[in-house]
Amino acid sequence: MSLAANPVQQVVAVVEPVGGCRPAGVHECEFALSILTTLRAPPILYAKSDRDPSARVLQWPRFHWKEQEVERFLVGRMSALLLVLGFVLAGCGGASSSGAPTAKSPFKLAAILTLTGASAIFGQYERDGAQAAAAAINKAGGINGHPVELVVEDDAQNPNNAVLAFSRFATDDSVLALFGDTFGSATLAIAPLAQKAGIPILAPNATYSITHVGNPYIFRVAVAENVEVDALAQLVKKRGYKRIGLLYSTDAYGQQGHDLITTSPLINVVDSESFALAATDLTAQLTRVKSANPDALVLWDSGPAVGIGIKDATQLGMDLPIFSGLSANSPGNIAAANGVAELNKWLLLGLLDPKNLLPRQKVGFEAIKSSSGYDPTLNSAIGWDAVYLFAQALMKGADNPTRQDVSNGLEKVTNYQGMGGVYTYTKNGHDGANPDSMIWLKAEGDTFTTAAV
Amino acid sequence: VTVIANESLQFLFTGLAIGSIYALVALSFTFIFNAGGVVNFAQGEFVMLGGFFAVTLTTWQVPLWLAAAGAVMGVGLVAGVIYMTTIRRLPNASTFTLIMITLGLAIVIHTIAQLVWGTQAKTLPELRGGEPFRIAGASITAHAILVMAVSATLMVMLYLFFKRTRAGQAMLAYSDNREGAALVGVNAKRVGLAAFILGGAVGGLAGFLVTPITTVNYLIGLTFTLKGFSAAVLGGFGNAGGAVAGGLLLGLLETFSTGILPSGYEGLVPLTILVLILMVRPGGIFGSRALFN
Repeated sequence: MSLAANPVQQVVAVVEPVGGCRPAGVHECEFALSILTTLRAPPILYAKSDRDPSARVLQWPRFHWKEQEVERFLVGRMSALLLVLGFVLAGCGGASSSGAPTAKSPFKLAAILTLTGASAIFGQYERDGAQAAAAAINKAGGINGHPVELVVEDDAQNPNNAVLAFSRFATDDSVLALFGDTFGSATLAIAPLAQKAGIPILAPNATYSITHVGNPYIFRVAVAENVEVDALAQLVKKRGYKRIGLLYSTDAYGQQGHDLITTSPLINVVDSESFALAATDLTAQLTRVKSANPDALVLWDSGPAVGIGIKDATQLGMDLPIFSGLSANSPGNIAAANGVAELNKWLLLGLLDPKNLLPRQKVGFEAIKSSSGYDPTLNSAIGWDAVYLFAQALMKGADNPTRQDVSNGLEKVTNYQGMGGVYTYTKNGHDGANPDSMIWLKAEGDTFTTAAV
Repeated sequence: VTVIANESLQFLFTGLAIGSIYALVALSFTFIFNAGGVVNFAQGEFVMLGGFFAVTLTTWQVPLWLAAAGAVMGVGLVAGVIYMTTIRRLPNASTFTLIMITLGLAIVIHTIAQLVWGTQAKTLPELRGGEPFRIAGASITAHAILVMAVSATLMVMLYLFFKRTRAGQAMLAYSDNREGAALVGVNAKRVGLAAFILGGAVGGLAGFLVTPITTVNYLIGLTFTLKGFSAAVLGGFGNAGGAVAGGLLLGLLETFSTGILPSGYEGLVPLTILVLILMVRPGGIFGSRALFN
């Protein structure tokens, strides 16, 4: 194709036969791509450099074209580009998972997740779980015949982006609810806007405050820290421990845990000691706890110090059972403890053990595994549950639901057996997952496995 | 008070064990400062790299002593490359510019470490495992005693190196006055490179030795930098004996304040005492580089 050819004509030639609509059976994205492919023909930006005539470099093509030609070319290219952009935004923008075409209008669930950035893996797991759930619901006929439409936006681990994405969703009346954000700080940032817009949020965060700031639109799809402490209290009571020594980190998770554990009526704390999140030695704290003569230890920390604490306790000759919460669930703690004796007396809370799936976890596990190709994690399970809870809320509702209907529907969910938890919401209780959501794990080799308690 | 009396021996042991880690890091700070004239805020990252190199080597079934050698040489090499690509290209940079550069390098190094080794903590077997020694109800591991012994040996070796050898004297001269040293025939570029390679190697050795105690993760370098720098300043910056004394003192202060004070206040006291000591003796306990001048 010569440079003199009118690019506007090229584009029109592609678009006209289909009259602005994609051919039947061709996906929007493929169609947009096919336009782009035809546009690629003349390598227009590879003009000859004036400094080195032999070099083909990327530069503005001003030396070989007449001005008029350039203008015509730009107009044509721009209009083509806008057209493609239109298709992209309409069709493949975000990651929509629309199911088989149905007569009934889709129910739209928006999601704002962290898909890029240092901790993107968590958001990606959540997205994979949510997409698998939407596909499974639509395959089974949707919500009373309405397919679930999931629209995912990336916040790049920045609460400001989350707020921007949320503002866009808020003005779209077809968005009935939101799943997100991956991080509690971003959820807190969009919470006031959600309250204003009346959009219910299915929040995958453990952050205690999100459901305790008087915002009636936030529903937690995760285990709250107070529920973790409830599970700990039940175990302490069942095993009859009377004197608990508590070590906690000085970050928000540790402090909140300290407040909840020391005020629990079932747990008698004889001594509590704090340590910095990045602590590399807990011997001094353990020495103090030891002198209070406890019959069990609780190591409550979201950082890497739990394994160090287990090792130091062994070195001090403390032969006691040790309990930790969900946040200690990281193989780094097993590595840090380095095979010491106390490792065998350590129990920690968990939600999902791939080797011992609970009946309520099997379907979701297989579905996510087959669509994403890896063993689902806790975050994929939460993504799965969020979409199913959304469906659950609308299952008994009208054909033309509002955002308020989703809120009302969620508040009627009782004992829903999800993959990452067992959920109950009430008018004043939005924490969702109850202590039955959790299992006790123990270290085995370099991984965790279900422990009988 | 009874608690303090009963447990003070344990606090003493723990304080000395932690303190000898700080002392090791402070020594590697001292080395690069004395030899290259650079306050290297990426020093803690060298310690972290030493730990990770040794961890990776042991996962390849390399014997522990060879992993130690690998950590020492590997970090020395990395430090040398860093010197050649950054600091050497800025012969006239001021102290503040160099501090900013090393801080930037620290962020680069720990980000790369996160990409290579992930975010999980890793550890090494202790050089001498088994049951810890128990003395009057207090316990201390053989490995902690070993770390103390290495700190002491390294301190003596550094002292002799800077005091007795021509290379050491040349390095001291270079860090004191670059132009003057060049005038009397010190090859500035070679001395700067040697300082970084050896400083990196000392950091790598520290990393290998402390990993069984503290574990290693990609963010731990900053902790080492802060503690090692505080220890070096406390003892007298640039002074090998001061680095060890400062490290042990800081470790003891931290452990005893954790043991004696109410929970939550333990972070406050060591730094308060550090500030007080520096107000009375601005050059640190032993004075900056007093042993060498």
